[in-house]
Amino acid sequence: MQADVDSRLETELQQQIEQGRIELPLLPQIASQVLQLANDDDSDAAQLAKLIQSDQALAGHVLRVANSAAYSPTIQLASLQQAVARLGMQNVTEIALAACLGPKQFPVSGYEKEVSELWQHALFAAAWSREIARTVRQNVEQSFLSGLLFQLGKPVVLQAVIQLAQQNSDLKLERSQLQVLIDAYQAAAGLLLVQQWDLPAVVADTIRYIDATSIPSSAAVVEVVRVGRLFADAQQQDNLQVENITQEPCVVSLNLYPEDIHALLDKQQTIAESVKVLSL
Amino acid sequence: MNQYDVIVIGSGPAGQKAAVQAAKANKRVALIESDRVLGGACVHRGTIPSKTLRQNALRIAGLRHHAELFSFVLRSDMEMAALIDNMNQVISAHDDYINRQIQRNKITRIHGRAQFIDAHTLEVAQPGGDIVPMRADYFVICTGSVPRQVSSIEVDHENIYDSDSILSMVYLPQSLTVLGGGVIASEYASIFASLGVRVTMIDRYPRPLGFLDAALTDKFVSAFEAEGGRFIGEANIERVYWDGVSQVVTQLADGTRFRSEKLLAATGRVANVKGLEIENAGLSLNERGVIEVDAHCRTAVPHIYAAGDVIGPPSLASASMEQGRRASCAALGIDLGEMASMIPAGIYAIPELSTVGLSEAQVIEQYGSALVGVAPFEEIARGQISGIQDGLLRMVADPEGKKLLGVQIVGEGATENIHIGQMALLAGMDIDTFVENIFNFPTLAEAYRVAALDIVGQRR
Repeated sequence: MQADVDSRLETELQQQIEQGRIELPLLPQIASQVLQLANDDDSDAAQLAKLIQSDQALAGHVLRVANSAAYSPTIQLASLQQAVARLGMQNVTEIALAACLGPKQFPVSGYEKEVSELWQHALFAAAWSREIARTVRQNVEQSFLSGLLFQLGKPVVLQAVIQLAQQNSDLKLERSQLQVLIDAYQAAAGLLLVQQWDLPAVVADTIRYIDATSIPSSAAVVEVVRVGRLFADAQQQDNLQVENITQEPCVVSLNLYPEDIHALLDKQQTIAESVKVLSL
Repeated sequence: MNQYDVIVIGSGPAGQKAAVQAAKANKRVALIESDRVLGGACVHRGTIPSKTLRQNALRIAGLRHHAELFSFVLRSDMEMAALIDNMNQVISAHDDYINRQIQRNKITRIHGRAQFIDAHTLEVAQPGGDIVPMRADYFVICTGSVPRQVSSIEVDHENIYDSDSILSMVYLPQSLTVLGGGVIASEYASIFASLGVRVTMIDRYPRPLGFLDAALTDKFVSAFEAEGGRFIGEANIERVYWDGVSQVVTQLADGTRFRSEKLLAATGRVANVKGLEIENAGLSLNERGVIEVDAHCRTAVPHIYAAGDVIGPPSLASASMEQGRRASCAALGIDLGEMASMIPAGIYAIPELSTVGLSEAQVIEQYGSALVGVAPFEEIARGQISGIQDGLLRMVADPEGKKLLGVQIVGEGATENIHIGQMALLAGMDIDTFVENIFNFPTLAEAYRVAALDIVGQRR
């Protein structure tokens, strides 16, 4: 009977994804506008400050993070304009996106811890991907964004599965089964979300190829994010050591030598602090 | 212990040819490369990608021109995607070719970072952490060059790039500062300017490409400025940094500041010997920061040779290939005689520039004066037909206007057409040969005849 329950749930989930019926959160308009500004060559800091100001909750959050010790150890920022001027568009954009796309976007009652952990992992993957890209001379900006968003499908699947279980009281769900379903369907759900949110093609490529056997040369950032994910996994497990990482196939494939890994691990503390701040 | 007849360190142009030459002499050869693909900076970060980018920039400029003719509009996001996609294909094709050549010649490829333990022994550290000890009768060091690091320039490969990371950009910035006035700086500055980026080139010398005659560099600067670029000469950089907001600041010693979205620091390249521990082999860098070699590419240690960028100028892929070949021949006792000294220089800027033989300044220094014939491309029929009017060809002759001593060309096709002048110089042809013989019409090569006639007209 339990096997029937599992397969019914999985079948329904699969159909939802294939038919595009899975419930996808709407990208907050503000996040869409922040992304647009970030990608707009003609935009400037004043426009970003004005945009953030138009959303009270976001403005409050950005100021709170901007005033944290990690970003402003010595002074208290009194306005958004000051925050943008002091921290820069890049930092403020990242703070704003983290606020918009973080756990609050995926409310799943009773699973807040899981959603929060997924988001933490995404932040670590993004931060590590950025530093790894710098080391191997790949594009730094794209690596951060892809690292942040390539697992966006996970909370979507989590939400969908919980809702299915809640809507059908005879469908029982174990937490262990939940992880299996998330792993199996997160890429497909992520690609639907990328399309709906009109995210850059590099994010779709990363989702598509992150676990593929071969990666097209046009999607070089995927290799970086693979290693970023590895570092994020290890850091969250408090297991970030050279000897654990050096021989991993994705690390070897990206041509990272032990001395490169040592240099990256020197940034461990800085990355942990920046993730902590972005998680506020 | 892995024993070889010849170990070549580095798989760029010099290393490839050194390895293949030794293999063809039936020697047991190992080729060590720290990158996961063969070809070195030339293939993956330098020559091939930048020339491919340049070609694509020219194609897009051409498409834009035709778009106006036929009233259709190019997608604004097409440019960088098209530039990069094609570049990856070219690099991939080149990588395949090198791999096949290495396999065909039964050269053992070792992936790792080499380090001398002593004059006969290397250790190669591999990405997975393994260490491979190796010995050889002969070594050829072809480790190339890396961007020079300057303490006042905070390269972060995100906002401030060097010549190894500049092509990791995936979008065209609105503005770009290029530091330097050499070949790399000039090439990238002009390519990005032609793509619509607002480029400011800053250098400590009064004009870029100072080793060329002023007539050529004036043409280059004029074309660069016509694309919206500006050249700031005689400028001493005090500091370069990302302002943490949205711009890179270039601060000069006189207090002037320039701001741009991104910056390329192209202030020279130095020998790449980091981690090689050449001192353990009894070698060191000279005062110019390169490995010193004799005319046969032999270092101070008799069985160790070096070739390519690691031994300094001319730092051209063309010369490096020949140096690598000669280094292996010298090691194996194969006598090739003297290496050609007349090496053309090609600068793949927009427009192209190329030179061979003596410059006007050098002829004046050696002969007291020079006769120079000039053929502006706007006066050449093929220049008009092809839309390549912004160029010229200069022939430099002795004071009597009889002996050809040098040729310089600015304009598309310069690096191809220069070889006519090169062959003429090698054959000792005089100016009248170009006048008395017939060229195809219409061709850009006719410019040789026009320039030669100009010299004849100046003879007393």
